[in-house]
Amino acid sequence: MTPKDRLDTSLEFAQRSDQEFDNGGNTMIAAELLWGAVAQTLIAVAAINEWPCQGHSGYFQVARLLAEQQPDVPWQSDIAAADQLHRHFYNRNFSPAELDSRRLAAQRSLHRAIALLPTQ
Amino acid sequence: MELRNEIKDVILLAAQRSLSNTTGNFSAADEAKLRANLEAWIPLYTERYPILGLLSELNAVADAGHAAAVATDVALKRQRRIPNLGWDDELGKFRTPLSDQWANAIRESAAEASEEYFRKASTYFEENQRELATECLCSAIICSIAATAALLGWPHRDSDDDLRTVVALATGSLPAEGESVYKLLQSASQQGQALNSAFAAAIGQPDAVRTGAYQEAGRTNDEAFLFARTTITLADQLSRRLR
Repeated sequence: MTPKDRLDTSLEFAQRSDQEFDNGGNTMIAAELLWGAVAQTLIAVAAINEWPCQGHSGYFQVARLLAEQQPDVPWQSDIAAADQLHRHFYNRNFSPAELDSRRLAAQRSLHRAIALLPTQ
Repeated sequence: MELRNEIKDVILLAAQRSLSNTTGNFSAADEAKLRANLEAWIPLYTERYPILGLLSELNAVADAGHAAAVATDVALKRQRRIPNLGWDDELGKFRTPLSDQWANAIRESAAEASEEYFRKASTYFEENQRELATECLCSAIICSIAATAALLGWPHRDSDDDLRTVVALATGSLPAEGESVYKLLQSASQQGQALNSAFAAAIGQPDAVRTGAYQEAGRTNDEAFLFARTTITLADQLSRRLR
């Protein structure tokens, strides 16, 4: 997949996540779609910068590299909070309020990461 | 629901600090008796304002003279000097204003309890016990967030209250029952949203460590401290605007 493919996939996942969240859908699916959107974008950012991004912990490494570039942006906490959505997919362990909190954090990281990608 | 250990730490340290501030040094024996006294009440306490309620109760017991059974005469005299707080759960505020003495005692005891958890976390990280370390950092946050909530007259009994406090600090007011946290946070300042992220990252980190998400990420301790310190710092900054 090219970075552009990943961006398109990310935008599609994010839209489908919103539909699930906002229409009383399955929160496990909604959470995983949003995490998937964040993950796809981070992989694209890593590819463009020629950074390693392997395995699940690779996302945290990308977050650190982004934080080094932009120390005023809380990349690490936004992405760590977003990552917890992935565990909700497996265990449905968050209350609606906890899920809302992670959703907001995930979207912050998603929008910021998308802004780093070329649009074409 | 049993009172959380972090809340007990703040209450006991605040009580000791305030009594010491009133009368000078507090002997180890008096401290032990006070601790036993408070520990005996704690299991009975299930309200949503434990920090405020238990301090109020300390005064009530002293006034009623029951303290003689559990405290020394000296401690009893000291307790009688504490101004009546009169926290009212129904009103959601003090019948008489919270004295600076108690407010400072709560604030300082929360900071002290938090730092103790930070120290424990460092030790656990040195021993490569990362799950325990990150749990200690969650405890450090709970001490701080619960005390902040108490000083603003907000509930602070459980983890739901902690999140409500974070949302309230981020947005300026406590969320109503059933209100969408997501929508509220969307209108929060960048600083408020950053608090939400740091809090969520820190509170969820023990589970992330347990499930192996950080297995090969390295530098977990740097991030764990970053999330915890950021949460406490931002919560403190945002709470100052609401006092």
